[in-house]
Amino acid sequence: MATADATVAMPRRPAALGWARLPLWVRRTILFALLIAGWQAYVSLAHPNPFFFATPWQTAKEIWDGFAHGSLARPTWTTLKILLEGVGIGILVAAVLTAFATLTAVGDDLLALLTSILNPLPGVAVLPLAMLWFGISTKAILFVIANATIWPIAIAVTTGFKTANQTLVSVGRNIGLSRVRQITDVLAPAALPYVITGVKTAWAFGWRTIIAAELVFGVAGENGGLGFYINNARNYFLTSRMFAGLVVIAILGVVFETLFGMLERRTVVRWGMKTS
Amino acid sequence: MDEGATGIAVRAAGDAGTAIVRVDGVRLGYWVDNAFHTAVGNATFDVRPREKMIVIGPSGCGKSTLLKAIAGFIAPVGGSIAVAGRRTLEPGPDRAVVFQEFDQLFPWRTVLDNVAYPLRVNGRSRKSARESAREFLELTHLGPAAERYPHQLSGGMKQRVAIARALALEPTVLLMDEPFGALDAITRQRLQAELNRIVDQTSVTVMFVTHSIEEALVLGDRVVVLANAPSHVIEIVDLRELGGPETVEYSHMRGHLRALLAVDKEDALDEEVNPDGDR
Amino acid sequence: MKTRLTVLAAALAAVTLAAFAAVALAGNRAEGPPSKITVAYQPGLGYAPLILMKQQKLIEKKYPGTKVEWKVLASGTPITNGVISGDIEIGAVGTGPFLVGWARGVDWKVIAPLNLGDLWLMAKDPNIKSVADLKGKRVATPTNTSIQAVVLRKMAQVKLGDPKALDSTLLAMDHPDGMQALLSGQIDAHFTSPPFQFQEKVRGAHIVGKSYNYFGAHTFLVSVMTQKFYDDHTDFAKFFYNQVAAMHNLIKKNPDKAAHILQDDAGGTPTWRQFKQWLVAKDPGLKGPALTWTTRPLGLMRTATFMSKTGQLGGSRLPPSWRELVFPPVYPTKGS
Repeated sequence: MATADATVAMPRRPAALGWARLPLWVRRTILFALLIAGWQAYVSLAHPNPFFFATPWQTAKEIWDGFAHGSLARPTWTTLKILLEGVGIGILVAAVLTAFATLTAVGDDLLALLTSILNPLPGVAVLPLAMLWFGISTKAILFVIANATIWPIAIAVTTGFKTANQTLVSVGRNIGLSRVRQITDVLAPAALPYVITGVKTAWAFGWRTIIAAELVFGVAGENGGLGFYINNARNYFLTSRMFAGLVVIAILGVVFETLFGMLERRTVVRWGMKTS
Repeated sequence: MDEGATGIAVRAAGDAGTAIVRVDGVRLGYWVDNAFHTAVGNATFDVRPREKMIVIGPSGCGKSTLLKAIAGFIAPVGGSIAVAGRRTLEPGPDRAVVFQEFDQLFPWRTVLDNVAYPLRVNGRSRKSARESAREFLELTHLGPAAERYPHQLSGGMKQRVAIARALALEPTVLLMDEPFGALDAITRQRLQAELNRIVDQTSVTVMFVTHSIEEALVLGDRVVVLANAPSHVIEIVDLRELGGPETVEYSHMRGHLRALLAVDKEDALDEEVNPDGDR
Repeated sequence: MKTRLTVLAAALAAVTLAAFAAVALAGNRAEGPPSKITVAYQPGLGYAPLILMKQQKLIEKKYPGTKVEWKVLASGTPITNGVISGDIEIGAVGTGPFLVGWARGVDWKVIAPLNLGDLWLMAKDPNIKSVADLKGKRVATPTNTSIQAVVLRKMAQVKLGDPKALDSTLLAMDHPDGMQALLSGQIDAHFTSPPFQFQEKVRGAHIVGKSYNYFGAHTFLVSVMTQKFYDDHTDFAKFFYNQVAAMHNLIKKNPDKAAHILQDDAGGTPTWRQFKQWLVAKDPGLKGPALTWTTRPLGLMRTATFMSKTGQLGGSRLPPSWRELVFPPVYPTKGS
């Protein structure tokens, strides 16, 4: 029985690049640490005006204190709560509009028209008007956030519906699905990758809108959100708090990105509907 | 069931008078810009209970269109279609379809769920739907794949799931639109044999569209041969008494079908068909 | 791997060094008369002395070699930022923000107080008669460090027992926005300043509280500069102080002329008659005009002490005397 010829050299495996060989979280952590080090180095070497630049340590301390004693925790929660509510409203309205658009031709035209008019409006531009209509209350901010989120979601969902696999629609008809069930059982899941993308976009818009709106809106005291917190820090010359507020926003951004990723892995990636 | 001389079970087809599907003078087409393009000019044939009827023809002859019309996706502009005596208009599970595309399974449902879901939609309880689903998956030898997702399956397995799904609905007629067209030759042969076995076990009526003569010979009880668009039925060939692939009659039949399908716009009646298959 | 990490580290070091270099080169120093001077103020009647200086080009005449720039900015924050960064040499701000900055270690002091101001808390709803009625209602002030916000807290302390009683519904609004919001009923009370408080009164609002009643006569607006600028250009600073005092005299002795200059600056409206009325406005039933034009600072220590008690100065040092808050030209005025 012939064995493999020992003198034939196995082809050399190309050396895996050192950096790429490390696991993802290690790479991210190292880069993050380098960024912090660079930040600290800049402050230590260039001595910028302390009113304009805080050190990583001051910022971290501010975040720690702020969450331990609530001065940062409460505004963060306030902002998150309003944002979640606003995005929730946005999703609901988008769902209704999209269903209407899918079921009727008039609805389709209406949605396209509304989207092209209202989508380009930046949330903060609508805020003064919202404040006139709803008074100086949370309702005004909710309205603005809803406006910022409805259109990206509606676009995403209608795209998802329109590009839905027609074979599946035929299967749905074949097995006897009613129009409503076609939407809920075939079109909606088929559109899910787009929906998730749309919600991600809407969430990002929502964040930007609410922080900017809070800066304009200026509700004080216990009811203020992160935007107010940052603005307040500015008034009181507390630069490390400004940095802290921004860092918290960035951290929340990472957190939600991770959450969205988890959602995607559990659904569209598991179903092979998206490359992760 | 009787066994023919070659050992292949010959299905006792129902009486010609009790047709499950009756296609009568059907004319089908579609609008392109402002012109109506006729695909099927005039088709008349029956499908009898428990038989495997193949519909074959050159590309563009409207065979898929015909199947879609029977399924209820398109309405004929002339003639009539009756299934189990009813002039059907809407698509429905009594005419379950197996499409050609692999992506006819719901990617967000497991294999088992894909088979069970249509049953639940049609009124079965969750438990009974799942039990039936398992049964039909066993029938198609897909039991172990029950908890997988469609994207994890090979093309051949996906089509088998689609077949299981369609069969589980216990349709009046199983409509199959070139389901093996996108598969490689080996898998296609395997699935053809599988299909024969499954259909025999369940004694379902099948209408199968293909452009492959070999497929027609392997699967069919009878074959409807369509001409070019605007098509009509050239001939309905009966394969039930045909012997196995190694017999002379088999090759003659193959040649015959080839000849029929090579017909361009000439009138089929003018053709003289030599029993030896020579023209 | 080594090569790549080395490259990465080198890139990071290069970026850091470049940033450092940019910062090091950015700072510029001036000796003698300043090569440029930017004076920044906000819209409002209280800044009249500066407007009068601007329109008459007083700085330009005395210092022809200096590039003089006058900026009107919508709110106090860009002004304070500008002063800290060196972009703005003289900023006009309210007493409140000045004290907060001073307490946080901003190295600035008052070069010339601009006026004393009796600031009014206005409401439109006739049911709101006193500060006690404002609990849970929406009150707007310029910012939460403004003198108005400070006095509001004093009012809350006196009338409701807790300086922070009104904090949770406090809103920050610019004067024009606040006025519109009050008149349209969107907010319940507006703590503002001249001329807005006059305009609101004319349009149907009434006075709920006056700052003089709670803080005595007190300084409203001040012009500030950094210690460093003062040290580098002491003569100029003294000149500036003198000019502000001169403008005060102009307003007091010749209000017609001052009003005409203000009308020109405003482009024709409001008219000079309106300006004159505002400049020396004395409402019937009031002891004196709402705005007093003097470089004598009053109430700085009182304000600072109160702000320190309510935590607005961050628990940091209280100045031992008012003189710590101003530059030498102001000492002779015997302020408080």
